Amino acid sequence: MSAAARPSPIDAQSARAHWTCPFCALLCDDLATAHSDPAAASSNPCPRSKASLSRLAAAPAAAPALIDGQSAPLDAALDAAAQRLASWSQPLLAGLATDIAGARAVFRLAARTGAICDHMDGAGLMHGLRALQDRGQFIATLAELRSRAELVVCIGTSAVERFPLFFRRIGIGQPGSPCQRVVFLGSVPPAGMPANPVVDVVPGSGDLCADLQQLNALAAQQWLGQTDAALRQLAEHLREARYAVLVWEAAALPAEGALIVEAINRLVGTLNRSTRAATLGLGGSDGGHSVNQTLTWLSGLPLRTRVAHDGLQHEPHRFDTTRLLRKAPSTALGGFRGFDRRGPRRPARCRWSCSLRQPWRRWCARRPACSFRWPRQASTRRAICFAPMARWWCPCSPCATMR
Amino acid sequence: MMRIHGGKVFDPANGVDGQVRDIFVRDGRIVAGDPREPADEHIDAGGCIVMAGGIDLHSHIGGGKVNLARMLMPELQRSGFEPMGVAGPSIELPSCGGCAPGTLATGYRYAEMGYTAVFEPAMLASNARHAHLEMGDVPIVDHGAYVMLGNEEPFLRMLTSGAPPEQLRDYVGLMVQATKALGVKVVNPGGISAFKFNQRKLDVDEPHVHWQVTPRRIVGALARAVHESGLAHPLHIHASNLGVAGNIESTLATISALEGLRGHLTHVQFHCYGNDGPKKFSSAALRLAEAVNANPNVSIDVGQIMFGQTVTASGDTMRQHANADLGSPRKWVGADIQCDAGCGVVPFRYREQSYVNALQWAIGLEIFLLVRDPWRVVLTTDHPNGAPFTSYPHLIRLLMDKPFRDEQLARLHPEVAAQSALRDIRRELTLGEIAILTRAAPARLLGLTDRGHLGVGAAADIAVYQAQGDAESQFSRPAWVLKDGVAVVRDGRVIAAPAGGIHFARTQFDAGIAQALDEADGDYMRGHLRAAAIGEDELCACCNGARLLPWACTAQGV
Repeated sequence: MSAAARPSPIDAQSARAHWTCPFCALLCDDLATAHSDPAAASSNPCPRSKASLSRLAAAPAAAPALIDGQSAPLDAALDAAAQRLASWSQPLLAGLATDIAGARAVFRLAARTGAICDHMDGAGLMHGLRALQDRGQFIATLAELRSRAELVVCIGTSAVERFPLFFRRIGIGQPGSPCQRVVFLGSVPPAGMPANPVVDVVPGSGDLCADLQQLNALAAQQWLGQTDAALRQLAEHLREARYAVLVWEAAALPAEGALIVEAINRLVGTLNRSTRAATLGLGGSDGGHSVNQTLTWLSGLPLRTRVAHDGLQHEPHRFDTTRLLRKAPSTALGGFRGFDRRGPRRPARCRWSCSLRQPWRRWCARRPACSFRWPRQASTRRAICFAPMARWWCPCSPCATMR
Repeated sequence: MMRIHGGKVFDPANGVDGQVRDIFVRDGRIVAGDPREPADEHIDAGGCIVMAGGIDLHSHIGGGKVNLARMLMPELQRSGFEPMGVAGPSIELPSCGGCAPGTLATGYRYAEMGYTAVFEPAMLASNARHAHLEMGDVPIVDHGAYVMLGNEEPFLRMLTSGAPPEQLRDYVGLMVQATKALGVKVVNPGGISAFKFNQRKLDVDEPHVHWQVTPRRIVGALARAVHESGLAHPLHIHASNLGVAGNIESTLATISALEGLRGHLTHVQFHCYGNDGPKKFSSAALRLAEAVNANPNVSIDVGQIMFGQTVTASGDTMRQHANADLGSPRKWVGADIQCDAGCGVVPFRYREQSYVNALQWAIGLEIFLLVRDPWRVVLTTDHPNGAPFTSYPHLIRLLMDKPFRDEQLARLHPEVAAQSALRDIRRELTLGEIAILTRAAPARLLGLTDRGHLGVGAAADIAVYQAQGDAESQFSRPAWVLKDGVAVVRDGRVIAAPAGGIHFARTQFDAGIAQALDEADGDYMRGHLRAAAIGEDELCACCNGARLLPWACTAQGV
């Protein structure tokens, strides 16, 4: 090998615009993007993607800078944000609907201010994370489901409400799919499920935790008294399947959903002693997984960590945004929104809205496909971040009421 | 120009073994200086040892499984009820240490030991983007990765259907190029895939239950494709049956599967067990060392274990599942990933009073000391699997100091202490040999012609160690570390944290292979390769604007 100077043809290929839809964690890469083109938009099979693209098209190109609800120049808004941030005794950076470039910038801001970081879907993300920290997990990815799963069990979710193309992505009803059975435990099948594979519904007792306890015992072939016949049959199907996947959804779980995830993980552990099984957790949209992964690799600890020079403190329960604002009135909140403008948590009339000093400011000032001129590279390099907007909001009364 | 004056230089690639020399640096490179020319900067290295910056060719610093390890073990980042802080005033950003440190701490701690390049050995093709983003946040040190092949369905399908060697060569070229890898690694050849089909064991000549190919065939085909792609680093092999008593047979069979082609057997300590003795677990270090001595096409890194808490992170789902019940604490993470590969993360505590762990410790050291050619051995702990990389100074002392080694051996499980062959091995590595194991050999094995040495034209990645005290304290706290001519460490503390560069290979291949693969994959691997291709601009952005360090490969005839 020798030092080389010539890029390869595949780099040119990869530079072609392949759009990956960022609006949910399925990250489909075969959807139409041209929301301005009615023909292309109508061929987009995903309602969530279509709605988000329409909202984006209707949104102004740049997030307006506001101070106390009044329009202000960006620099003044940045100064105001920095000043207020510096005066807060315990800053909390929440929202964080951003991508990896955004998360890198957020981390540096948090490190400088001793802030706690939490995501807008932090509560859901923590269900999976706390179960992982407790006993671990065994997961599969979408292509594994598509190629291998004979049995798919959706637990407490029909999946399609927030992930409309889920069953399409895992090839249910498509030629060559290995899937023989889809079971809905404690949930209702969505309309339009194909005739093949078989669709079973196990209504359960209404208490997912109790049902999973029973299913765990049945899968481990432990003796129980009276058991639910449908659960007995499901346990049998699970033991017989060569590869089963248990699907759960973070946003569909009740409070203390970590207990349910832990029971699902335990079930998979039992099954893996004799056959093959895995879980698939649906969640992490709006940059949730990206931000969690990025903060974890930078600091060594995931979301809901206080990042400061006197130490890193990870509290998956205590550092919940809602809890902090309720229990600690001196905590001040700064929020970021990136991918989308939907959802109830966005304040309608925020008193001030701006982005922050470098590098966050540099990141969000260039949108939607921003270009950096890297100091050591002559050519302009296309950056990976494409977040359409960044928003910063405060604990003023309009914001607080919206939360 | 900078002048490093009066140090004892250990530069084995250029035949320098402890002679006092001055080193001259200009614009980030080592130059042939004129002593009469006044230097802008001057480093007094009197009483110091001067070496090229260290190179770790096998350390899990980035990619999904390391992050899973971090998420799995938050309890290691506490000191009782208190968080662990950063000691003293520092330019460092807050980042956890321990066996699964944050990427920032990874860069800081490596630099503080005088290391200037680290390579992630297990980058999944389907997760390459994540791996580059994560490694891009390792500051100071240069980095690169080997893409994991040999368990993904496109390759297994090609092999099963009898694809010609030139197609496999093009495939390897494509995958290296698309994932911006520097080399190719195979992990438990075929075994990760076989586990997805509920196969729990796969010997070298045993067929995969679904694809019907053997590990021998996979290793042979990949070694040939890597060779014909012109990659400098030979196929990086995590052999079959990791951790299993008696697995020396698999390891020797894997060497024979290479059929004389070059191969790098990684963390061989975990693949070097006999099944003799009352506990059916014994050292096979001598047999392995004899095989390495007899096969010049083979190089190794050791994967030494150290006692204490760590976490094992591997692509070898089959073996990690089997070992999960031995983990401490008892929790683990596994994954089947994108018809491509898998991963398993199992926390582990190596104990001095465990017969097996004590023997593992002794086996690693025996391998270091029994292989005659230091140019084919690299010092690693397979961070974090054997131990965190921060234990390298301690390991270096064990290799250089026989009385210290004996003292440590005496503390172990009594049967190991009494019977280990290590007691009778008198060899103590010299500073020159340490410079080979930690710098010159890994640079040569990776084909990094301007790294790992201090010759004119080399990158000015230089470590200056105080020649006082024992080897452990010397190598723990360099007086100076230069990265591309810039001082990044002074007296063992980080003083600057620039972005490290990224080494990757530019391969040649028939571009038609990409389309052929996409068609063969169909809907099942929708967008798999297309999404995996990482452009050089994107790579630069992933790595925080780091320098791109491409290495050209010339494909060879089949």
